Amino acid sequence: MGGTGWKHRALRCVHWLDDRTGVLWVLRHSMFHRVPSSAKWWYVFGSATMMFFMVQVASGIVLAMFYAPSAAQAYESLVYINERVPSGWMLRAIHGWSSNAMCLMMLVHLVQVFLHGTYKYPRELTWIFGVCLGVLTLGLAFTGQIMRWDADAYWGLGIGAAIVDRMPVFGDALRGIMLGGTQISGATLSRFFSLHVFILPGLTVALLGLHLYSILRKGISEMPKAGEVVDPATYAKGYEERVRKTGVPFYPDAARRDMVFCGAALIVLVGIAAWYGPMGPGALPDPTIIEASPRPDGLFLWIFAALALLPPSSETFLLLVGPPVAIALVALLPFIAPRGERAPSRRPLSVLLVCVLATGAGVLTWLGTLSPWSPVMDAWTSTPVAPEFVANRSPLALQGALEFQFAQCRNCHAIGGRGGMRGPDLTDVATRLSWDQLVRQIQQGGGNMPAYGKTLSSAETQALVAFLSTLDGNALRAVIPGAMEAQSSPDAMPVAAGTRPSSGDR
Amino acid sequence: MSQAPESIEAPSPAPANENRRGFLFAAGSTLMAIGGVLVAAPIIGAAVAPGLLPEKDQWISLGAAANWMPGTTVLVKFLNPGGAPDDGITRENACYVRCIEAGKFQVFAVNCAHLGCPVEWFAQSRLFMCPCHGGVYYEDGSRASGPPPRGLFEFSWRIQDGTLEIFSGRLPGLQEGT
Amino acid sequence: MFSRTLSSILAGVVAWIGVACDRLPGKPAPRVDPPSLDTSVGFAGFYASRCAGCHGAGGTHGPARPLCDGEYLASIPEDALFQIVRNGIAGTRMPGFGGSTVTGVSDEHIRAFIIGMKRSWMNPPGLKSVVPWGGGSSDASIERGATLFESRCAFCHPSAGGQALLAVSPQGGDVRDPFYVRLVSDQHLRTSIIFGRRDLGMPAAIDPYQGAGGERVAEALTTEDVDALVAYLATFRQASTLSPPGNGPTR
Repeated sequence: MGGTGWKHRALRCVHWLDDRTGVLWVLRHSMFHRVPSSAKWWYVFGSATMMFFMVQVASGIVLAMFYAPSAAQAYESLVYINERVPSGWMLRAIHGWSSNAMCLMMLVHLVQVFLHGTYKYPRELTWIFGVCLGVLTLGLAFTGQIMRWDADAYWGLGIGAAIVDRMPVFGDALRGIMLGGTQISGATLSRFFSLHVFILPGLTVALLGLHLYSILRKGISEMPKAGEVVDPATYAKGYEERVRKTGVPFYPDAARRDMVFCGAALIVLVGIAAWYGPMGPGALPDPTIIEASPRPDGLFLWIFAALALLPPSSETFLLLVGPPVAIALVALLPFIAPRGERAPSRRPLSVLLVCVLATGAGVLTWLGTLSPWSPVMDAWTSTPVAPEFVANRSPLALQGALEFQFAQCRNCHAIGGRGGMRGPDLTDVATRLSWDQLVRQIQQGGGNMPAYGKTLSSAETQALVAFLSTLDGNALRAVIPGAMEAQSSPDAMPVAAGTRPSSGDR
Repeated sequence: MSQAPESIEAPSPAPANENRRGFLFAAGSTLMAIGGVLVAAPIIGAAVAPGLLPEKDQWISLGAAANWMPGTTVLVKFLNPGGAPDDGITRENACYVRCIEAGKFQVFAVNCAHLGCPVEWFAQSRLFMCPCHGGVYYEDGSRASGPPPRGLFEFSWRIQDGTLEIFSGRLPGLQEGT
Repeated sequence: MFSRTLSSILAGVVAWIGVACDRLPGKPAPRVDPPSLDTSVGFAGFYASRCAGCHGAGGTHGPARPLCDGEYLASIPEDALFQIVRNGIAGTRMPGFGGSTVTGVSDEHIRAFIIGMKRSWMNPPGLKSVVPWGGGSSDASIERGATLFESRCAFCHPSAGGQALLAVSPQGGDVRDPFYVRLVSDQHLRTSIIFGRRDLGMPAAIDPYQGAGGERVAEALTTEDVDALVAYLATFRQASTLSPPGNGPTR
């Protein structure tokens, strides 16, 4: 009696709820709607992006309970969360790494949708909402980096302000609105807190709703097949028919893969967070500490690199016009190519585009981590002149080595592979430039090198050139492993006969 | 339970009431518009005011002009004139004062003219170097190499009662006329 | 059965996380103040960032004076060392690291740094050089210095005669090069003679040296010898450099 009575009462409850809210109807159309049976593992990335967004919301809400969005206290509150709040560091680590994961999943999702031609008729709006979500996600990532309120955040804002400031006519006003004043200050942090915590997440939730609604309305696309061309005249009818015939309910059939992938991704996320910990905060955001080398987070390193490599003459134009045009082009893609083949095998141009962009972003990110264009600001005092460049030098050449450090040549030039990478490595400079050429290069500069003619006395120049002319490359290591051993040890000669030089010779 | 979506045709009004309804609708729209503007003005105004009504630059004292040795360039701290206690250490700011000879100065912003990173002064090579994208400037602030489109930003300065003062307040940017 | 195994594994994982959370590798280490400069750890970090560029990693084999030299550290007066670190040596390639500027190292830190340096590198403590670090008399004989140089220095430091291009040499190179002498202070010359550059093969004042014919001679330099040598070398600051080394033969 108890069992059936209980069941009956529960059912009545559900009916009551459904009568007042219509929840069953919503559930049926969102959870149990039919999706193409070909929607398999390629379709998990959108769900994963959304899941990481939920992680961000949950962890962000709790972080906001401890974070003090005030320029005077933000840094200390982060240290407090790291050190004093129970599992606070883990919370920060999850929030930080989940942000990276969300961007990564979003990128994979975007590339997958692009390569599969899913943006074509009739899913134009789904794509456009998705592109807007992508822009919002990048905005969340940038504003989140500002929340850290360390030196990188401070100077990152400076870079942002300098870019906005380049805009003609409105630049000044926009920069004022961005900074909340004429300087980077507490008002700036408050503004970015508002953006990061209210405005951008709110917009993201709204757009996510639209994105999901448009997915439900027009259906999940099928896996593209070469030869199956999208034709607006016949597509909708054909799709509906195929889904009715061979489709499977989203839950549980298609959702199973989402659940497996998302669950695994969550576990990996927690593992990474536990292993690598939270990001920062780094150095104090003190504008008077000049010995700072601001670097953006990994996601934005390619922009940092591009800013160093853009030609100065067109830099402002590219900075201000490039991103909006690029985003608009991506967003309007469904109207540029609304029909036709969806399969990547029939769209070589799209595949090529993805390859080129991915390579470009990868190379720029790699360059951004190296930042060879930046002087190493403390190389002159911290990077020793190695003993092999000191031994057997004349007293004048030793003074020249000192001058090389003292005049901060080392900040831009490496010797023996250590030092700045902005200028050429000078380990073998004496093989390239004669004494007189060295003098001229130092005095007059050129080739992106400042002129030192006014700074160095004749004796200092002579010493410097005396030192540089000892850098004949003899200290260079052999590029081919084992080549030096082969030269120096006699029993290494019969290498061709099968014997190897013993490593004990080294 | 679920129905096909109903038609969204507006019910046609009875002819006798048409005038009254039209008036009510017009009045309602007008009131909503006025009320909306009244509410929106302070909300949007507060958000964008810093851009439209920026604080003016002020003369800021850096200390006695006799403090600086001719031929030197030093980093000097000052407080942002419009700053609030809530700004913490970001209320502080810095500039480079170059004393060419007694009573003759050049005052540079620490922000690189490229994208605003902090340039570092190297007294030995008499160069300013930027850690971000490698901009380099000579001691008179002129561009030596790298991506900056111009020399370092300069502040106007004056000596008032033996005190060196600079005209500052705004984070310098490329729109600056200096 | 399966679910029981699963739940016990889950329980284990939860328990493990509860216990091990504090020992996870990602947990940030609590912020501690950087070690004081008068400890060997604090000194080593500061030295590596501000001094190693010229004085060599570990205080030897750099182009500048090796500081990992107990005799030198014992001989140089505390205040002279402080002044050098704080203000640098004008006209030479030793910059000052202190001063009242925003970027300068405080006097207190410099004193701690010197204590740290002596703690790390002055072993055994208190072993002073026979010839005092500073001093020098104005009436030192230049002629005597010239004679001494020929007999005691010239074998390793022959005159290059305007051919300083032979900057790589198995020997010590030309110390009478006018450009070289102009770049260094008298104290640098004096310090180099008294303490040598043992890391680069140059003997100190008390070490055996190579005589005029290359023979090994064990005879220490006296204070007067050092004064005379410095006075002699200093005369080369005025020497003509009309035939600059740049006109010499290229290698």
